Amino acid sequence: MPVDLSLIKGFIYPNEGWFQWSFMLVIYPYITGLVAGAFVVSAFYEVFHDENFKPVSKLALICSLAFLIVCVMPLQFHLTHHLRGFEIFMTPHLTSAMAGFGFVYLWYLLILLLEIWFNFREKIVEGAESKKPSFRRFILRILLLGSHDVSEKAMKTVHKVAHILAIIGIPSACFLHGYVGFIFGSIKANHWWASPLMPFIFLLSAVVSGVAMMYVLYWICCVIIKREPMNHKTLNSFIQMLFGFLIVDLAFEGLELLQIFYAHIEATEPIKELIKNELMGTYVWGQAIIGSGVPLIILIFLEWIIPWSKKHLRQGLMLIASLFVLGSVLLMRWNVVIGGQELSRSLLGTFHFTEVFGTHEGVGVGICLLILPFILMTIFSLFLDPWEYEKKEVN
Amino acid sequence: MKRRDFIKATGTITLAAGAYLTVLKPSANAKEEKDWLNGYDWSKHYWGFGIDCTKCIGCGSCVRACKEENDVPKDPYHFRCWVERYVYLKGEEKPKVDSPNGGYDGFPEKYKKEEVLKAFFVPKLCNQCAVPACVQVCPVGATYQTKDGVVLVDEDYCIGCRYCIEACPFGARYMNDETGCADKCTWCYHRITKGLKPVCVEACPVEARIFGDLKDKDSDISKFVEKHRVSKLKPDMGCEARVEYNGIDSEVR
Repeated sequence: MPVDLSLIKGFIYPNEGWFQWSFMLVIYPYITGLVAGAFVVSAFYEVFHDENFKPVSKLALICSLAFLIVCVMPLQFHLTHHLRGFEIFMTPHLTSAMAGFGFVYLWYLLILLLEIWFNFREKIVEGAESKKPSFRRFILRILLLGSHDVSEKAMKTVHKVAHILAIIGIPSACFLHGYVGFIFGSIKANHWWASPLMPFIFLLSAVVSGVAMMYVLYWICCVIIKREPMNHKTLNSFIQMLFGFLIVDLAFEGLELLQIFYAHIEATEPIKELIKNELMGTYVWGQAIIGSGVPLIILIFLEWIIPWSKKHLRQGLMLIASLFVLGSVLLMRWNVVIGGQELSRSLLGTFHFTEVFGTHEGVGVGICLLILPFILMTIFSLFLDPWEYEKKEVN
Repeated sequence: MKRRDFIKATGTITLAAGAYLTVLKPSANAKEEKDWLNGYDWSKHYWGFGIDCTKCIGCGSCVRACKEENDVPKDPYHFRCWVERYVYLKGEEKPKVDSPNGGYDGFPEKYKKEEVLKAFFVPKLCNQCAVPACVQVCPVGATYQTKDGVVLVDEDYCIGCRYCIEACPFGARYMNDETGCADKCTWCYHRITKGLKPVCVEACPVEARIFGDLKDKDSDISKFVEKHRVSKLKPDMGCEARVEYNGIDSEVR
């Protein structure tokens, strides 16, 4: 979409006046990040046997699948030839980072589907053998894949395979999102993107956003839907995990900036101008001060100052911190994708991107795509019921 | 049908299909390609382009001719070639750079003569890089490099992801809204394969644009490179841009 020529500061190449990657490319890494982040939460129980994450472990897997299904949709909407999108899988150009993503995506999808199938094995068999006919039973019978065996020996094998899959899944999930960072970080023409740290920054912010989202979902299930009382050890683990990953994420982002400013490369001054002008609101205030600073302070309070006995206060503050973090990571994607394009490759000017709502690449479709995974997750939950397991075990 | 017969029949069909695809089909493609190129052999040429900025007067004839010849949208956002103006004002270290409407309408006087230390125009176009970033990043291989050194886009194959537009360090690519494909200067490939010069070269009234075959030592471009101390844009990008410039400052990017 064309940019307002009156908002150009300095000089930009004439072809840069047409903005190429807009809101769809902002939510694509955001949703992919939530996939990876949710899986990491699940893996803390499945691989590292942290019992505190058991209540959300299976929900995190379903959540990861729902977001994984949706994460390529923004790309599909973004293409001008939507029907040719499948060519990336059929005839990939192997030197392209974007083509590589197709394979990384398919690999992770396979691992995740297998992980879910093995993890929900008992639930699938139980539902499929139900005597009451229902659509759920019909679907679960298909998901059985012909195997009804839930004997002790069979389940031992199932748990072993699920554990191995979860171990394979961690590097796969990390690679999936690290790779998204590489898609941007490998563009040498764009000085705001080109950085070897970009995959790590994307990955860490993905984990942070995934942890925050899983807490929000856990809070909704415990406080709004009231499926079970909130486990305060789980809450505390969420606080520690979010705090830890947020610190490391901020350290990496800080290092990235430090490198740009300290090394004083050709693009340093133009990037300073970009931050001071175009990104002052979304980057400095939105992402850094409000989006990261506020939750960091809240997490410090939760970690060391507010006592465990004040359960409701801790739940509420953690919810606020998580929502701020989710917003901050979305802004981070915005600042990378949009910010990078607002800096002219001539390094002689910047320009301002004005978001549109109505087009197939606009904010409206973007919001729908951000809501869609939650709808999918609810549908998956109705079939696989990740909470019933926990209810039984808690009782 | 017996199992043995079935296997025989299936095997025969598979072999026949394989033979058709490997032997007959490529020869048909090769014939079509030869017909399309009208006898042009791309392995016998290696095209080169030069810009003599000491001659350019910023009239914009090249931009207008290019837009007409290649059906480039007439708006100020889509250009296969454009002209930039670099003006050094007295007492200022950095140049003032502009390119109103890509230089399509020429350049209106903007600065007082007595304030200007020096000024020059820089025509820009696709550099047909030897190591093109756009070719590297295209996820389906729709952008490709020809043997005669030109980078082209296959409109029947481009998916419109615009990764190539983002990857080009020179801002030489744009999205063609009519075809839904990435588009760029091809050095008028449809003309040069017929022995003609690119239209911008033809339109330039002061011969600031030089084009020719680098394999021919007597061509205009070979002589231009031999005669001048030329430089290329953004060598640090590692793309090995192939447009040779004479008379530009290091400030030109």
